[in-house]
Amino acid sequence: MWFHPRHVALLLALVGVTLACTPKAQQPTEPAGPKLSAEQQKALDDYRQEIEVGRNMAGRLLGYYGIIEDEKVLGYVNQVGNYVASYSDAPERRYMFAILKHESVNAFACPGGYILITMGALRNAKNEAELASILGHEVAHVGKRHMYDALKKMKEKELEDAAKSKTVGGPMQDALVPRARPEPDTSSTGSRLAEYLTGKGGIGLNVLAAAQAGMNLMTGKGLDKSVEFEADQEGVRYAIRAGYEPKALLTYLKRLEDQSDKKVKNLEKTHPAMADRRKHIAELLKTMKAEDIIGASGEERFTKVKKAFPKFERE
Amino acid sequence: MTGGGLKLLNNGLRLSGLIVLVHVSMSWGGHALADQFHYNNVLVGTRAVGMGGAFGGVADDASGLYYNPGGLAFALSNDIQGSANAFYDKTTTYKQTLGTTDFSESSSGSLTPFFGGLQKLDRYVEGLSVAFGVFYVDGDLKDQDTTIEGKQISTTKIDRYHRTSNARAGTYYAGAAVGYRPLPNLGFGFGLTYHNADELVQEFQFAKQSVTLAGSNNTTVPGWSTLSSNVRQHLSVYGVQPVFGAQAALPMGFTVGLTLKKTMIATQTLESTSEVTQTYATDAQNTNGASTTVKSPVSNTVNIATLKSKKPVGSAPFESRLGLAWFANTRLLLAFDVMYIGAVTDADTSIDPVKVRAPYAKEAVTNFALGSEYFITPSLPLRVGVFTNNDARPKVATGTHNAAAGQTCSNLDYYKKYCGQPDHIDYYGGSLFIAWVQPNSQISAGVTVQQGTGKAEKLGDDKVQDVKSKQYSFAFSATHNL
Repeated sequence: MWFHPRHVALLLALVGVTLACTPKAQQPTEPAGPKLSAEQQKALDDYRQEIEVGRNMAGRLLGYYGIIEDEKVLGYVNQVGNYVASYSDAPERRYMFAILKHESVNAFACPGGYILITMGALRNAKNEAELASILGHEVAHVGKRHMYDALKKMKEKELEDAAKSKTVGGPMQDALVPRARPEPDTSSTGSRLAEYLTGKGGIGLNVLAAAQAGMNLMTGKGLDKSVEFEADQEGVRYAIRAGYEPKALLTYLKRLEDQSDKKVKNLEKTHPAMADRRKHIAELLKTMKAEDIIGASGEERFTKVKKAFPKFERE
Repeated sequence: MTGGGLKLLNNGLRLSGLIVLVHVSMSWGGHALADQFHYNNVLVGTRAVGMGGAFGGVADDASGLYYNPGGLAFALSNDIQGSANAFYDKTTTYKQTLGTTDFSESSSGSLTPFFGGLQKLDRYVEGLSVAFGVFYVDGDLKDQDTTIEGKQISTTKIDRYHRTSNARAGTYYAGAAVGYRPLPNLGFGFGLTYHNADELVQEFQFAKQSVTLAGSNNTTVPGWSTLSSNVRQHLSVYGVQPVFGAQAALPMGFTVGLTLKKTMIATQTLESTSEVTQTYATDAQNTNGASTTVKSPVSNTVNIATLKSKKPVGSAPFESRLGLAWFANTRLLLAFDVMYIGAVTDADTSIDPVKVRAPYAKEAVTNFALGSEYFITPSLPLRVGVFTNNDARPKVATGTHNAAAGQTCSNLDYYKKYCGQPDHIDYYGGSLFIAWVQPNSQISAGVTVQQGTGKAEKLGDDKVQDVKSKQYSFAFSATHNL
């Protein structure tokens, strides 16, 4: 087919418009304010990247599992989660809690403050103190930047390998794995090329690859045991500070340990054994002399909300 | 003196060079417009074009409809892509054709080689994908105007030669394919495309030469001879092309693919009309005592011919492609293709002016392509490729030209071997493309260069010229992943 020059121009214009309309990852806008020092600017850029990675991970998880949209339940979980977070070591952060439409028992702390808990984990709780402890555990992961730091420590090659090793929908079929290409940057090409050509900075943390690698880490082998134990202890500490009953997480984990349901047992694929976790929590409680602390269970409030828990068929 | 009393001395052979040029230009072998004699069309597909067309072992996007439908089954995502060949320029130079002067033909234009989309249907059947596409594998747009004045050709001086040659030609396919992986490592695909090839040529040539004319009473007068021709020819071919492809994923990131296709031609027609006029004229005054000045023309010969054929190109050749790819890691891909296209032996000879040659007959051809894709950064893949693009026309034979032994083009047996031969130009080329990849889209831009060398017998007089040809194609394409 032959084109008059103006047809070519029209075609190029259409391609340009198409590209212009292509959804792009949102770049944070620079807020007006005092000029930041180089160190402050670096910290700010790092925080923005953390949020971007977390948002991307949360989006993938929500897309795969689905979300509970019941306003009463969702509002309640956010209320409890933000209340506990306000007593955490990182109260200045913003947290967003969502409920995954899945009956397995798990919760995910995405970098930047995106915390997702499954419906199965909620259903297994008996009171608000247990929920607060669970959410406190995830708040600790975020505040301590466990996932984000783990991703940052990965070398580029490891990041790409981790990103392609598995997807939320199941492992990528072996025959397709070699075809995976690098996840593209969302930053401007000019600066990336300049970075590459000048050797300054090299190839930094690829947000999308990091998000996928982090997601695969969360749904695969999980984080290191040490940080899980730390999150347990910190989560309990936050819940106690918030006025909840100190042994709530111990009770919750014991309840799970006593179940043989695979929906519960799968939790141990990404977390340490329940008995080990309880042991570490017990050590903390002993140190804190928790026997002397009287906390609220919030059972009545929790029970009222529990009646609104949606029922669905999905495992 | 009356015009009818004048005759061209030397039987008009002094215009031989240009007469033959005009004659050969009228013959079908002189036109390689849509260039259906070169099969390696590398401008299909965003990634494939950058890799020099070495894509038979990859083919996991919409261009798999062309390269290997079996690759569709290995697609990672849905996509829609389009290519715009923003500009191409081609020049073919016939060395020392007009005496010591080279003769050049050039064409340039723009076309869109490919538009297509791929949809994965895993949600219905695991490993199932479908694709559609429209791809233009050949195209030419020629608008040439050549004027030569005062040129010595052999023993003849040309006063003026003027040629305008206009052509538009294109070959395109449009269709759909389905790819399916019955086994995790093995995919098959089948496609069916509608095929159309269309060539339209309109050519005008005019040659003028000073001559001596014979007048009355054995007198001679100065004059000139002109030869002009108008040719219009139109080739039209319609058909369908089934294509079968298979691809297998091997250990260590290797893949191998096989593609088989053959166009089933439903209808094909060629129509040609030519009009040749030869004139002798003079400005000389009447030398017999009369006072009237005689003006041209004094003699005219008009020859109008029409040719029609319903089987000009014969059967389409059988095409096969074997592709091997190595996905070394997430950043590096290497691919190699070998293509074999069979011969066409049943093309029509009746459309040849001397009816001894089938202008669209084709010999079997083998081509190679080697390509690479390397991600400089996750957003900047660089694609390079090299390839061959060999001519399906027979090699040009060089005659001995010995008039005493009857070895001239007027001898039919000699003519069959050495005269009126079509060009034969084998190309090799390379491609270099850079892309900018974003999470859901990529744009790609670059250039393919083809350089050809070969032989031609441009004047149809058994004299063979060296030919050099260069073609640049600046291409731009965009892909959006859905």
